[in-house]
Parts: sequence; structure tokens; C-alpha cells
Amino acid sequence: MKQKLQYLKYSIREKSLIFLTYVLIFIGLCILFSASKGVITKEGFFIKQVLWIILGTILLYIFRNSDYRKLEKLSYLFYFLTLFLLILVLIKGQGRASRWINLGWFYFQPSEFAKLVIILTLSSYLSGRDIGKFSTLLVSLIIVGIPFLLVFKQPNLGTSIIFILIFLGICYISGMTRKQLIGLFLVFIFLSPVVWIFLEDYQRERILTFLNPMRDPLGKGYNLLQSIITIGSGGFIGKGYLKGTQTKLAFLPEYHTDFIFCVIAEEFGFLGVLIFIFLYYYFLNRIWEIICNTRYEFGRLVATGIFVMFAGQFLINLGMACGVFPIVGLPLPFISYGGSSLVVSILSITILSSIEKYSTYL
Amino acid sequence: MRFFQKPQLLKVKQDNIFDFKIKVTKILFFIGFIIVFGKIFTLQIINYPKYEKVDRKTKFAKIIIPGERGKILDKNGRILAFDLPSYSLYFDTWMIKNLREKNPSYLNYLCENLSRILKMEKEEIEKLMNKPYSLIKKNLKFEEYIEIKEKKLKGIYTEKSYKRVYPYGRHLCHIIGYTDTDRNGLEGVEYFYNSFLRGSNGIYLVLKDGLGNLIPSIKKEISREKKGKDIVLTIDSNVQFIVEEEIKKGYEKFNPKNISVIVMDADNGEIIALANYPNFDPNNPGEYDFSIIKNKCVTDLFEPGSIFKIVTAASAIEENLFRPDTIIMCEYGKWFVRNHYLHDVHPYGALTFKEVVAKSSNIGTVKIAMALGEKKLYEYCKKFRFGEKTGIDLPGETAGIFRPLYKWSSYSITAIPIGQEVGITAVQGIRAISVFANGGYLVRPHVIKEIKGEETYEIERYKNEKIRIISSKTVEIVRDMLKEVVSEEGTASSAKIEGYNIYGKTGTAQKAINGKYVKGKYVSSFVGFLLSNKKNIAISVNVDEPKGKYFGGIVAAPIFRDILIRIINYYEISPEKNLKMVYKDETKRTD
Repeated sequence: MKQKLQYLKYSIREKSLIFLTYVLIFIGLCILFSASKGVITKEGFFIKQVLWIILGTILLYIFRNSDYRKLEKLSYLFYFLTLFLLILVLIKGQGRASRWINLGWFYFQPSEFAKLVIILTLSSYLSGRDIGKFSTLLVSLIIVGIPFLLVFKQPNLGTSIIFILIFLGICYISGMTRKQLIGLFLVFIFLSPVVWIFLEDYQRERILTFLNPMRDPLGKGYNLLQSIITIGSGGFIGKGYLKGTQTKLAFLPEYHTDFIFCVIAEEFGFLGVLIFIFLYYYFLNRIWEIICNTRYEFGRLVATGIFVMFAGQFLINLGMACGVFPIVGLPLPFISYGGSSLVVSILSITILSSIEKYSTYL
Repeated sequence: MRFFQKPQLLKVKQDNIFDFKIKVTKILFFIGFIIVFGKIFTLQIINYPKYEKVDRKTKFAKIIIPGERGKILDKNGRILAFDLPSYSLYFDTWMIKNLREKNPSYLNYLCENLSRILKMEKEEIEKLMNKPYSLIKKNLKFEEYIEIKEKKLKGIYTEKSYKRVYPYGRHLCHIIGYTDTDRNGLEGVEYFYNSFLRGSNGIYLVLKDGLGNLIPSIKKEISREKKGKDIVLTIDSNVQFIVEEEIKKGYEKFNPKNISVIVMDADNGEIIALANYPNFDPNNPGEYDFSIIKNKCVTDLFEPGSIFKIVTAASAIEENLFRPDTIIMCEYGKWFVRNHYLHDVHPYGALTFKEVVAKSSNIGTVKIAMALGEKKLYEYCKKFRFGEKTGIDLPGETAGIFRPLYKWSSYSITAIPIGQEVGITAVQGIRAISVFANGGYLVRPHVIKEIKGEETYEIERYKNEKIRIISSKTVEIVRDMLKEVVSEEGTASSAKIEGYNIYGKTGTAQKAINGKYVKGKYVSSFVGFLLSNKKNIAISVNVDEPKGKYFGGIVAAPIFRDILIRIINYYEISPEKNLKMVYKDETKRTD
């Protein structure tokens, strides 16, 4: 009886991560429905998002019982494949920011996959190695550096920042020394003017606008100002589901991708935001538990990477919506519209649940 | 290579360093959470009123829908001025955008219908639909508007606007006045009764999207538009037509600067007709000089000349100084008085009082006035309210010139009784003459009969404003004298109409420019009235600077007569002494 109860407790615990994921996906769908003005059309992003969710769920179902440790070796293969795709995207990219590859009826965004692949590759390389050695650190830097530069060149500042965060997070947990940290910090300080030169004009504008939003309220600062007004006008209880006006009346651009949080804030107000942030925090905390519980170094590093990826995107996305972070263009995982991002997020959850499953027994 | 051949490693690292690192990472992220959360709290709770206001302000646009202006009608209900609605067609860009997502085939249907109704190319309409501004067509034709309304098409809306239209053009222009482009009255009744005529605008809040497009389908009413009140004039349009025709004839005959005619109901002050010539078209007032647009009957002064002798005579009779048959010596046309010579046009010897008035002797009149005294003369003139506005409900009225007694010179007593040193308006003139038509009452001239609207009310105050200033006995005597003026012996024999009780007085005044009389420039005038069992009608005719002839009896009196004959025919006033109505043919004679 006692054993049975413990098993039940265990299985609920195991399932709770996936359950939370689907809660977030469901919230995302509701918000997307509102963002598409409560109308479902064939061409609209709502249906596409549903199809992506179904695809992600199929992948989750297929890989639900497989051992993530197989990825330790496979990761290098994925790594080079991703590098190839990132180069391809630079050559035949779509749009000003060439991030997508056109695959017929949908666009494929390799930089989203690159996040997960970098996590896997870096973890695979660092597990069993001592990062204290300079050579190890250098190789790690190269592993992250190449895709970083490719993505930075796209230009996709948001994802580049996530790459840096993933690198720092995994290396830190892996056992980076204080000396190395300080060294990296100094290198960053030294390099930042160089990075500034390599930034695109509009990215520089964004950062300047972030520092002073009223610099150009109708031009460069428009997004930020509208986003702030949208969030602010939500008030405590919000305007009600499907009743948000700022987002629907085309005041706020990109309301279904990067600024989807504004829809939540406007329609559900501070109360809704409170619940939403709490949910997300609980979700991230669940990943945290996995980090602490797993005994495999590879698993731990991968979980750390995934945690940093989700938490970083969540914080940066909210931060840029409410004006505490420059607008860099990052989706809110599970909520924003975007197929690649969603599939990668679901795959990450699949890996996490596998890590949890294979964490306790040898 | 070791790189790819790394064995599966199992490393347990539950040491203190790991615990510390994990705590540091967790704290870092927690700080991030706190920052974001704090910022959202500031935005949504602390600064909420500010952003709520911005949100509301940027989202609503105020649109004003004009209210219809009231009509102006004549006594018989003929519409003289009205608001013509015109409709402009717009695309509802917001709805079009929605329809494009939801129901693209409808747009095609919409374009087809619009191109059929408006007779425009379909491609042209599609092009308009894709443009950021949304006007399709201004000033829709009425049948186009009706058809579009009946079709109940989505994605478009009409906006109503008005244009003030004067269907009779120049007819009655000086009474009605005109309006500016915002349909606010600038002259005439349009100006004087603007607050009644003007409708109140409807104010609506309309939702606006981020691109500034209005979304008329979401409308919030603040106040509804209201129609202005209709105004009925005392003017009889038919009489006005007669007057306008006759003064045009007179204008062609004497080629003066201006002719002004007023026809008034002597009993109650209702203006039946009022016209100046030359006149203007209120539909395009911008093309005319202000000297033509202004209503000279109320704005312009003239020296009444001999007309003023009636006042002098009436005062003397009222004071019982003279009887009509009192003999007055007229000094054979030249009289030295108060240090200067006074002349008569025709020299006369001894005339009776009655003849002095009928033949319009200056010397005789001054003698009467001097017998009366300056103070009494002043008092009587004041009773007639010279130098005061009549209070007619038309804009721009001037008070006239009538100096107070202490400003009179020693010479004044020889000038004022014969209508010099005095400036009156035509309205003052007709009011003065109507005193003798209605039996001694000073009436208030007015052009408005009633203001129609939600509550109908008549302008009673004008009708009741009647003051007795002369006794009926005096009126009888003065009437007798005025009848003599129109007789064969009088100065205005040309105004006589056989079988009717016509009374009147001519006036011929030299025009004074900069205080000096100018030779060859005269104002010829005639004021007179008809007494009948149907109506007592007073008419004043002023001809400014006629060319050639200039005596009031020759210039103004025939115009008076021509107008009066036609008015008699129009009102079907039967002659006294059972004479036949022969004057239908007479009108032909005067043509």
C-alpha cells in the first residue's frame, strides 16, 4: 500500500512537468485566439499553431520513453547539421532579418533548433572534462562561438544573447573557476565596443531607444511606448478576454509573437499577469528540481541549459515588453506564435522528462 | 580522437561548491523575476490612470455631425432658404481589413455593386479600397444614396453634410441674408435669428485604430444632432416679387445709385416687402461688394427733406396752434430769417396751412415751426423716435441723426422742420408715416411672424408694441393734408389712384457729403399709405441719386403708384365709392 502510494506520488511528479507544459500551451492558444481577433481562418496563425502543437505532441509521444543519453554522441552530428542550416539560412534567407528557410507552407527557423543543439553539444563535451583547463574552455567557446556568430550575423540579437546565457550557465554549473569568470567578463568588456560596431543600425537604435524611450516616440520608440501603454492600460483586472483594444486595433505591432505578453497584460490585467508569472515560475522551478536531482553530469548540464534557455527567454521577453530590457526580438516559449520555437520547446520538455526518468537509478 | 570516443561517465557532484553555484544561479534568476514583476506592477497599478488616459485618448476620435439649419419661409409657407443635404461615401477601412481576412469574396461583391451604382470602373474602386484614405465619392446623387442605403452594403458608410440653398436666388436677399461655409448667418434674418435657426451639432466618439483609421461601426453618442427652428417671415413673397420688379423698372428709368422700397402693414408693423436694388445672390455672396449686400433700408441714412414737414405740421395741429385753413404768408419764395435766405422751389404768396403742406413750402413750414418753438418741435420729433433705432429685427440698424436740443444752433429751427440737419433710415420714415395710417400709433417694424420648432410660438411682443403718440383728431387733419399732396394740386399728383384713399408726402433732399450740400445729387423719396377696409398699407420709396429728374413727386411717387396698383390687385382691395376695378389695365399703361 505504501509502495503503491509512493509510486503514485512519483508518477504524478513525473507527469507534472508535461502537464504544466500543456497548461502553458493551452494558455498560449487562448491568447493567440484573442490576438487573431477571435476569428479562426485558414490562413491565420491560430490554425498553424495548432498544427505545430500536434506535431510537437507526436514527437513527444514517440520519444517519451527513449534514453536521452543517446544524444550525448548524436549531439555532434546535430551540431554540424545545424551549422550547415545556419549557413544556408544566411545564404538564402527570407526577409530583412534572414532567420527563416522557406519550406513550402511554413518557415523553418534553424536558430531555434541551434539553441537546443548547443545545449546538447556543450553538455556532451563538458561532461567528464574539467572546465578549469584553459583548452577545455577554449573549445567550449568555439562550440558556442561559431553558431553565435552565424546567428548574430542573421541578425538575431535575441537568440545570440540566449546562446551567451546558455554558455555561461552550463560552464558555471560545470565548474568554471572564479578566475575564468572574471577573465570572461574582462574579455566581454573589451569586446563590447567591437560588438557595437558589428550591430545592425536598427539594433543600435533599439538599444539607444531602450535607454531613452522618448527619443523618437513615433518611430523607433513606438513599439516600446505602445507596449508600455498596452500593459499599463490593462490595470488591475484588465479589459476582459477578447476585449483588448490596443493589440487588436493595430496600435501594437508583433502582438502575436514578440509582444504576446501585452495581450495577456491588457486583457487580464495585473491579476492575470500575477497568475501567469506564478505558473511560469512554478514550471521553471520544476526544471530546477530536475537539475538538482539528476546524478548524471550530462543530464544535469543539459537540464541547466534548458532551464537557462526558458528562463532567459521568459525574462527577456517580459523585460522588453515592459521596458526593462532592449527590444531584441525573442519569442515567449509556449505562448508566442512560432512553429520552430514551439517544437524545440516541446522537444526540450521531452528531453527533460527523460532526464528525470533516468536520473535516479543507474 | 578522444573528442568522439569519450566514455559514458558517471560523476556525482553533490558537493558544497555545486550547492553554492546552484544557489547563485537561482538568486540571479529570482532577481530578474523581481525586476520584471516590479516594473509590471508599476505600469499596471501605480501608473494605471496615466496609461488608461493615453489609451482612451488615442483610441477615440471626436466626430461632429452637423445639425440641419432651420428653414426660412414666407407668410404663405413658401420656402426661401433651406439646408440641402449631401452625402459623401467612405470605405470603413477597418471593416474592409476584417472582411479581407474573413470573407474576401464579399469585397468583390461590394466593388461590383459600387461600380454599378456609382458608374465607376471596378478597378478604380478596388484601387481606392487599398488606399489609406477612405473617401470614395463626394456629393452622392440622391438616387445613388438611396440605392446604397437599400442594398445595406457592409464596409462602407456615408457622411451627411449640408449646404445652405436659397432657391429664389436674389429674391428677398436683403431680408434673408446669407450664411458662411459653416452655415452660420452673416446677414439679414440668417444672422439676426442665427441662434434659433442653427441646429445643434451631434457629437460622437468613434473608435480609431493605430493607423488613424476611423472605425465608424463602433460609435458612442455624446449628443445627438438637432434640427434648428424654422422661421416664418411677415414677408409676402408675392408682394415682394411685385416690389422687386417695379424697382428694377424704376432703376432702369432713372439709373440711380440705389432704390429702396419698404411695404409695411401700418396697423401692426409687419413688413410685407422690403427690397433694395441693386441686389445680390445669397448663394454666392462672395461675388458682391458689401455696399450691395448691406440692407440699405436699415443701415443707410438720408435727409428726409420735405417728408419731415409732416412731423412739423402734426406737431402744430396737436398743439392747436393752427387750423388747416389758417393763412400763412409764404413771402413769394424768398425769406430772410436768422441771418440767411430761405427759398421755395416755387414762389408762393399767401397759402393756407393745408396748402403749405400740399405744395411743400419751406418758408411756410419754417414759420409754423417757429410759432411752435424749438422745444416743442424737439419734443414731438422725439415722440416719433427720430435718432433712435426702431428695433427692427434685422442686423446693422443705425439710429439716425437727430441732435439733442442743446446742440441745436440758431439756424436749426429753419432747417430741421423741413428735414435738413436730420438723418433717418427708410424704416424710420415708414414708421413715421404709418402713425397717420393707423390712427396715431407708433408701431414696431418687424419681419418675423413666428418661430416654428418643437414648440410653436408667435412673436407677440412685436405686434403688441403700439404706442399712441398723436391724437386721432390730429391724425384726421394731417390725413386730409396728405391727401391734398396726392391730389392734382399737390406735389405728388402722379401717385394718385382714382377711387382709393391714398395719402403721402414727397421729399427731395440735396445730398450732403462731408457737411456740404452737393449740387446735382439728390435723394428723392416718397412715403405714403393706402387706407382700405382690408388693409392699411404704408409704402416708402427712396431713390438715391437719380439721374436727370430728381423731384420726389416725379421720381419716387410713380414707383409708389405702380407698386400700390399691383398690391391692390393682389389683395383684391375694392375701391371706395363703388368704382370698378379698372386698374388692372392701368398697370399696362405704366409699363
